[in-house]
Amino acid sequence: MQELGLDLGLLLSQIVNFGLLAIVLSLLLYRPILRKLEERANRINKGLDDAERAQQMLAEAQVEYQNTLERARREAHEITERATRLAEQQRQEILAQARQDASDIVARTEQQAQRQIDESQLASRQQIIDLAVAIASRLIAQNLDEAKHHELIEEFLAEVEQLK
Amino acid sequence: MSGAHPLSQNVDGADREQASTRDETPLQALVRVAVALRASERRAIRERLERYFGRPLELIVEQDPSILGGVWARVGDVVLDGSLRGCLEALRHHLRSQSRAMISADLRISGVRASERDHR
Repeated sequence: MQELGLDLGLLLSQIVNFGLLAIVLSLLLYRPILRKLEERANRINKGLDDAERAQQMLAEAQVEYQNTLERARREAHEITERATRLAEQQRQEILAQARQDASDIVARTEQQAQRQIDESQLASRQQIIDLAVAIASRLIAQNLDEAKHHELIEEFLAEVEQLK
Repeated sequence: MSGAHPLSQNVDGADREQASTRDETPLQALVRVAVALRASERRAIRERLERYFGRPLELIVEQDPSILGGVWARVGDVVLDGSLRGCLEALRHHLRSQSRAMISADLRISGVRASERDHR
């Protein structure tokens, strides 16, 4: 050893010192740092877990939101369709009623007009008849001579003779 | 005068029976003519009416130009209208009835057409 230039005692003491230093360092520095690192790793993992959970919840919420939105759209569509159908039905009913009313009014008006035309025609015809009879009376009165009067009296007598 | 003379229209068996009771008292017969009657015509009218009603008549003759011509006579409730005025009135009545009937027929036809159109 001495030939190599090494002092055994010094070597031993340095080994012991290093061992002691290692023990002290391990107790006072390495372990707390390791513990701190582990805690930090745990916190990070927990944060990651939380983030993942939050993301999952967000995804679920989004799915739920989409479902709710889809349901609401469907319901709104159904309501709109129902309202449209009802409105169309009411429109058809109103149109049919309006057509019927219009037809009734036209028929009534035509009947009234026809009645008025007929009454007017009747009055005109009767006036014409009265006028014709009046003219005939006048013409007969003007053209009947004495001889014809006596012929008519003879005819009356003949007809009385024929009465039973 | 035509065959459809109004003379026969107002003659009803019951009326004639009522006018010609068995009573021999003269019944008043009102006769209207448009011109003055000759004596022979007056006699003939009395005879024909008395024969028809079967009893004596007291003839009252009125000259009434409004009957235009012929003879109009009333015995009791029976009227024998052989006047031209009666003919014309009968003609007017007939034409008015025909006119009303034609208008009614037109109205029925137009009513049927309207209901057919409504059905279509």
